[in-house]
Amino acid sequence: MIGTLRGKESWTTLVLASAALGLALYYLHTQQSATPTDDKSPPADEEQRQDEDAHHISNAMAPAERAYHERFMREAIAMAELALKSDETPVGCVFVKDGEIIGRGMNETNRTLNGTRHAEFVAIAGILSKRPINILNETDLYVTVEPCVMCASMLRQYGIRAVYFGCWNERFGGTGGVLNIHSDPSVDKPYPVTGGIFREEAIMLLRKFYVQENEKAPEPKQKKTRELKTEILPMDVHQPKSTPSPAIRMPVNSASTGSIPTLSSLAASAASAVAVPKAAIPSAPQSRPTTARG
Amino acid sequence: MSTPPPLAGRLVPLRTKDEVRASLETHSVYVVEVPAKFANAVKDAVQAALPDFKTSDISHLRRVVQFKYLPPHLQKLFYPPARLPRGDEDDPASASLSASPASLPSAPTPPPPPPSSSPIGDGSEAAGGGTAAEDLHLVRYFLLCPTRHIQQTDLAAIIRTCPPFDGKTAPPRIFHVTVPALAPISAEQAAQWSDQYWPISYKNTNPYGPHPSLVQRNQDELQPEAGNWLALARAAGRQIADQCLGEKLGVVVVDRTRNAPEIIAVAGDCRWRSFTGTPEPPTGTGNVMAHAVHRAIAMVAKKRLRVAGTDPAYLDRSLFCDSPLTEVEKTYYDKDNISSSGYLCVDLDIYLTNEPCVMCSMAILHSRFRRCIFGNRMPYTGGMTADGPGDSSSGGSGLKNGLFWRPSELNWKFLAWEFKEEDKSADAVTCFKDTLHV
Ligand SMILES: [Zn+2]
Ligand SMILES: [Zn+2]
Repeated sequence: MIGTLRGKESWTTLVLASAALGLALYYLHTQQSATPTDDKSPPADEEQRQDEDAHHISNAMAPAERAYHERFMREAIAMAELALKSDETPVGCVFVKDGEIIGRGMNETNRTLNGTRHAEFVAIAGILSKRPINILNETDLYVTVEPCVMCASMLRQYGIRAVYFGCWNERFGGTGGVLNIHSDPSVDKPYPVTGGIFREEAIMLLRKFYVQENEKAPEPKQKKTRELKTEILPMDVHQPKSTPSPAIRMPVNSASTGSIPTLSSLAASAASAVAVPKAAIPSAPQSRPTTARG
Repeated sequence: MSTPPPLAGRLVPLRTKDEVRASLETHSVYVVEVPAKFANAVKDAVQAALPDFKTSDISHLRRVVQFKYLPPHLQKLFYPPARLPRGDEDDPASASLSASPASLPSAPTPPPPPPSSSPIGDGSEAAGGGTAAEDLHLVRYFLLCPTRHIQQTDLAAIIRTCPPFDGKTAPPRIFHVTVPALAPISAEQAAQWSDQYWPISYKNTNPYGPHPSLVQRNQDELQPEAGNWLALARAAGRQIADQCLGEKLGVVVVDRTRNAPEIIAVAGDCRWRSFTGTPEPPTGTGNVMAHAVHRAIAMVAKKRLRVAGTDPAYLDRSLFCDSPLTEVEKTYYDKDNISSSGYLCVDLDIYLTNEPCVMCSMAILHSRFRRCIFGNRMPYTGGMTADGPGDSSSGGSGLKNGLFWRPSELNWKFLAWEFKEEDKSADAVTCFKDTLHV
């Protein structure tokens, strides 16, 4: 189901390459409204967030613990890479019990024409075909993009133990990005979430996806495909709108790991090297329900 | 198969989360009694002193109101209006009772006994018995700003820089009035608030939800047939429960864009079906992914794959339970009545026996459904309603997510109703546990 994963070394290289491209895109995008002379640093708020995150991780997580989580987030990223190769929105996840991966999933919404086939559903469908439901009470989820409201509720109903994710989803995140389904009052047990693990890499994969889609089919694309593939836009995945309680949110950030370049260092080096036309980044389609026009 | 007899009842639109908030949120504003002529001067002075205050925040409230248009409780509170100089000798109405500005009244005649309590903050209970009726027309009640913007003593100081309060006259009468913080969503609500709080200006829009006329138009279309589809949804739940594969919960997906309504998918809950297809003991949550909504959405997708010439079993997994399992599910799954060019569940309506859980509510949103109609509320687990149990009551329990209409946060919105059944049959009163997720 997961195909052949790349070895670690080449994987890292690929991430670095895609990081450069993705950051260039991100950088150009966010700088459109900024001053042209300010091209050596990312937006100020971005910088500040990283500092905060770095501060949190040093307090909240010992290096060994961090390495443990990053190991599984890399596996989730590998699943997202696989989704990218399958023309799916690159979101991937793994479920981990006792330090062992018991399930993997990636987004399958495009190929199934089903807008609910998110990575978390796909992975759990695999897990529960071999194991009892209550195993999820001792299982953690690692997912590259914050679970949406739907998945956040599903995970809570199943009684997931904890959720670790990469970037936030400001379009319909359910664990801090938009709503706090994991911790709101409910008949189900709440679960802790930790966001920001390899956040840039998760965002870069999404950016890569939009570039890839644009290169493949510059214009007119089938409506259904186009809309499906823009369900998470690059600009939607930066930071939470609402902040969950500090007790359950321990942001971590790869910027402090040293293994992956920081946003600012890459942006500075990549910005001048890669020229990307503005049109390569799709703008958010303004979704309107049919009821509004009828 | 035979069609079950329709349920009798009426559709009641759900209130959006913002509508609920708008109907509950009030705050206190300053109202000053001022001669009509000087209202603008006072307004300018206050405005200049409060650069952060935006008048658009109170644009749903009438700014300058005559005594006779005040709601009863404020008339009682403000009575009697102060005898204020108008500084307008040319006006015959004022000339008859008011001195010139140069000779402000320094010894007001005793007022008639107020209806009950005295106005607050009033140092000039003026107005002779014979002129009170005319005074009512001269002064205006001018709504200044929410009280959080400025202390009353500071406000009074500002007003005293303006005519006619800048002389030796008595201080302005400043009142605290409770008003709705947000704009009304309908003419009815505006009328009710005008009576209850303060005269309201209704702009024939609903900033907090779908426009009432839009809701009404859709409701008129759906009302005659909603009972049919809900009866079918109930039959779907009954059939699956008879097989012990799920709870007595069902969903019907209807295409109402063509001349005749077309049933696209029917699905029952399947949480107690094991990976191999056998019934499992109904303990715990069961298979959450096999809630009826998810099964119905998957069936719609599979029908789209099928008409597009792709194997509907592509990427299928047993745990999704998205193949038809009962007679009623098969009947509608087998019909090739879906357009291949459609996208997700755009333009489709979904009917449910019960309010969907948060997961399923968001699945409906992800699938871009057009309208959602459900039978019974689920006050502890439902994701659609934004208020507590019971339609218009405030407070109460309920998750209050109101997922159907949160356009500033989520990227899709749709209309939603609950179906109030007239005469609940024994079958309808299936008592689910509070903690059940539909
Ligand atoms: Zn999801
Ligand atoms: Zn559900």
